[in-house]
Amino acid sequence: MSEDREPVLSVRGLKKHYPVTKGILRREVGQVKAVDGIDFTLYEGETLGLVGESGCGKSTAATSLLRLEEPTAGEVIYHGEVPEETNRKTPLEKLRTIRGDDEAREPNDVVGFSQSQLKRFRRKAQMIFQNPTGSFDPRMTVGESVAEPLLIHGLDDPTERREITEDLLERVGLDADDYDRYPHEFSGGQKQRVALARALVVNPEFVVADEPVSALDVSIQSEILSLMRDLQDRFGLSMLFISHDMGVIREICDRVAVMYLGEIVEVAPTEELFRNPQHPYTQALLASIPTPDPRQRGLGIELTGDVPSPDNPPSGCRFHTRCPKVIQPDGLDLPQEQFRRALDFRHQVEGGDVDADGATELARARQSDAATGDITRDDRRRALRAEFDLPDELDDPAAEESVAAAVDSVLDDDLESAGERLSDTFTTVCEREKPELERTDENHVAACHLVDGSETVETATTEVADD
Amino acid sequence: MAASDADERARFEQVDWDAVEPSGGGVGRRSALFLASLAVVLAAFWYDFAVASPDPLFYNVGLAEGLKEPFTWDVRGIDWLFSVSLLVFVFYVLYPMYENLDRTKAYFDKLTNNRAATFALGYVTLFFFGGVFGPLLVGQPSTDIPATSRPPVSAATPLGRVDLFSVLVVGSLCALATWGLLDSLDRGRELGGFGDVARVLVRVGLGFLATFTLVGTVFNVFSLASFRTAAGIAAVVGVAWGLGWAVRSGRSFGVEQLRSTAVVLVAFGLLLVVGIELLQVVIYDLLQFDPIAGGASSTSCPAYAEAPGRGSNCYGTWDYPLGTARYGQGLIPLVFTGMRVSLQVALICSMLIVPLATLVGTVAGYVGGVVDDLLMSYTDIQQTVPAIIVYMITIHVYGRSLFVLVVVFGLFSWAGAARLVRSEVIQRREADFVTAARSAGAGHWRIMGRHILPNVSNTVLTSVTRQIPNLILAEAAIAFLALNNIMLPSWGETISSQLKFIPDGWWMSTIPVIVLSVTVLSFSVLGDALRDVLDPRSDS
Repeated sequence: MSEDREPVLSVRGLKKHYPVTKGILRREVGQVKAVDGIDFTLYEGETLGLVGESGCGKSTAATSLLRLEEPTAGEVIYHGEVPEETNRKTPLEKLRTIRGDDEAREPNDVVGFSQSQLKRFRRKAQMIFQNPTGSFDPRMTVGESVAEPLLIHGLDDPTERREITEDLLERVGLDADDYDRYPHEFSGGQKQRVALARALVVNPEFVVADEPVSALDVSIQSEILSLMRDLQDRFGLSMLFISHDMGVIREICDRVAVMYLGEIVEVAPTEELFRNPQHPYTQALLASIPTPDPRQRGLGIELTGDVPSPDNPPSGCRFHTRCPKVIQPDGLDLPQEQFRRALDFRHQVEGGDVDADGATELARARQSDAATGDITRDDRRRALRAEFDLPDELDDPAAEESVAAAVDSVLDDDLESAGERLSDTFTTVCEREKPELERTDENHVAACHLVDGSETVETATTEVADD
Repeated sequence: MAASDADERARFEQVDWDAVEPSGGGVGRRSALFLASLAVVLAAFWYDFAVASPDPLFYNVGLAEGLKEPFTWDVRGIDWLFSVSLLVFVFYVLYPMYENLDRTKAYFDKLTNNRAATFALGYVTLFFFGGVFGPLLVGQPSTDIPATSRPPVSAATPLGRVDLFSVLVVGSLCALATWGLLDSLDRGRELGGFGDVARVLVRVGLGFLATFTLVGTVFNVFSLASFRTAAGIAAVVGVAWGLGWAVRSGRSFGVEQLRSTAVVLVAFGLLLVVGIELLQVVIYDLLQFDPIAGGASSTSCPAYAEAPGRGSNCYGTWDYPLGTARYGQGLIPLVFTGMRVSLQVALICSMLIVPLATLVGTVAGYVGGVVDDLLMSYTDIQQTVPAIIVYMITIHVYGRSLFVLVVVFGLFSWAGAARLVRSEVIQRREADFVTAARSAGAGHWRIMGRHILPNVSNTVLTSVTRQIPNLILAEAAIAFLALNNIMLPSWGETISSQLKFIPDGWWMSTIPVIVLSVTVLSFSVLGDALRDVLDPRSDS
């Protein structure tokens, strides 16, 4: 659906890494890879949703593609009219040119824009923020805040600024008299209307909306969403809409990009994505939408394990530590759930999160109050297995042998050999190889080893999504 | 620019952005006025300093550091700094308050909810005008050896002889006590009724004071007419303003108000009798403070002031309503010149502290990184150097003067405020509204000037108001250590030089002590109240 439209903005391999520094010399000891190479294209007049859990890098992606933060790497190609270079370089830019560490960039790459170009570019790209309270200067009237972009971009006539602002305030459903009121006199929904006005006032080509309705009541959310849709239709805006709420995404977006730990794992038109999600993470997200039907309660896919830290993301497919559909090696033939549990056990052992004392504690906790007998080694074995939801006997003999040996090693406090034993048996291609984004349908791409594989991804979630 | 239809208002989508040419940011009206006034002051200073050096333009206008001549303004000393700081105060404190009249009124209402803060604000206002105009009005304290050690004027009452100063102090305390008493007795009706009368009286008083100050200063400086004429004019203006307000406010003044006033006055009178009796017993009899000059007294008093049966001792006379010091300097001029000195300390130090603290704090907080580390390390180091030590070293090089004192204390007292500003800026820098401004295309200067500075200005204002009492006390302490310019009659100098005449000449040091304490207390109370009122967290 979007192929025949003109692209507005193409993001290519955008990365934003935050250095983790230590000591007074600010020695870099690591990096938080908040955004680690994302690609997408925003087309004219469309709303592209960017969805993912909290902390997966959605907002960082937004701020770095607008260069509110300098991206670490990547290109942001702007397809509109590139502001001309007014050849006034700031001292910092000059220094950078002298040092020559600025790689050659396309002339229409936002990352390569000079400060003067960037300022002109800002008029065409506006942003809306999540927190309606924090995004207004408490010392400025609402009107001054809305008119500020006009002033910044050189509209010097105060009367004209005021007229434009009052007109716009009325068009977003407020009153012209609100110009002289202060932000704290408004409710959250009203403030978000003002935020819309501020984003629109310089007539931008596209708007990045960073969770614009997450802080609002549900009833207000739909008002704001329909206002956004109206304004978008009227002015032909493109929008990058960031949210963690699949319900909101479904309501407003034309296409959706799903992010996990700084990477995009799936992009598809909204209908297609909800009907036929390809990536297991998308499926899990969709399954997490609460349904009003009490009979369908709890059929969702549950994710196990913690969200990995972005300063040390997992190798291969980043989702493999939590993926319910993680691929088994050829030699094994376990039920999927058991394999998942065994992998969780392995990660915990490797991470040093279990030990013999812990197992004793677990066993003691499992013993009912009445039982007073000593804790046998068998008790502890069972407790450890129960903790990881591992059945007493795995279905595959090779796997069972490995788990049993590992449990014994753990009880002997020999985590190293336990880890070795487990990692020999429970391996997965997801951990070794990084899946590329693959096209499954005309407009549908997903990054998973299962995609294009023999397994067809038809799950219970499709029913949920189809209502 | 957008060509809008005649009947259409300008709309955002009609703006032709390609045609918009930003004109470079000009200087605002306020800054232009300020710069012009500053240029005038600096030109006058330069003229005095370079051209008219032997016979300066501003000679004979104001207060010199020292007692060379009455009405000398040594423009090469502290007075030009004082003029500049007055300009700064007018253009960057009073003018913005006038510009945002609504917000000022809101803050004022919040402040006046706090009773102590209301009194403090009132006193600080008097302090400001007294400091600016007082010395011009009452003149310099000049030695008058025959009038040495006169006590404050006193009068015989049925309760015994009382002096003017004690009556003023006891009267103020009794007025407060009356208020508190009626309040605690739940006589809201009487207080309310008297409140209207009091409002009129306050306006009459304010009108009188303001007019008298201005007119009297003009008359005095240009020797046009006597104080009596000025007082007459001022009384007419004050009464006219008070009555005019009473009519305009549409309040009815009838029996109810009369009754309330009578009740309040009776209560006040009773308390005053008790107060004066206490004064007689505790102060005069027990502590031996006498309204008649004692052992340190003069040897020659006018015939009409001789105290019968007390040898050569005499009563105070209206020549010197609050009495005189050891060398016959009137205490009223001493109080007002001291007020000028304290005001100079407060204003000039603030003028140095505010920009320094704001600049260092904002740059450190906004830029961050190595700049932050360096600036804050320097601040820490500077905080370990007491200003008084620097002052002691500096006076060995440049001699003792108020100029050195305010410059040293101003330059060494900003560290705490800078730290506060920095933490506030760091908090604001990460705020969404700053990101919003950046995404709108605002540059760093605009963000600092329009978004961050207005949001930290309250922090600076509060912190400086709370610093002022310390500075005034530091000046007094330096006078006590005899490290000051002893020719400059500041409060601290008067107190330390007259303290040895207690108890015979008790009024010589007690009066400046009381004024100094009230000043320090008022600034502290006002600073605390401002912190509560201006805290942006209490806005939401």
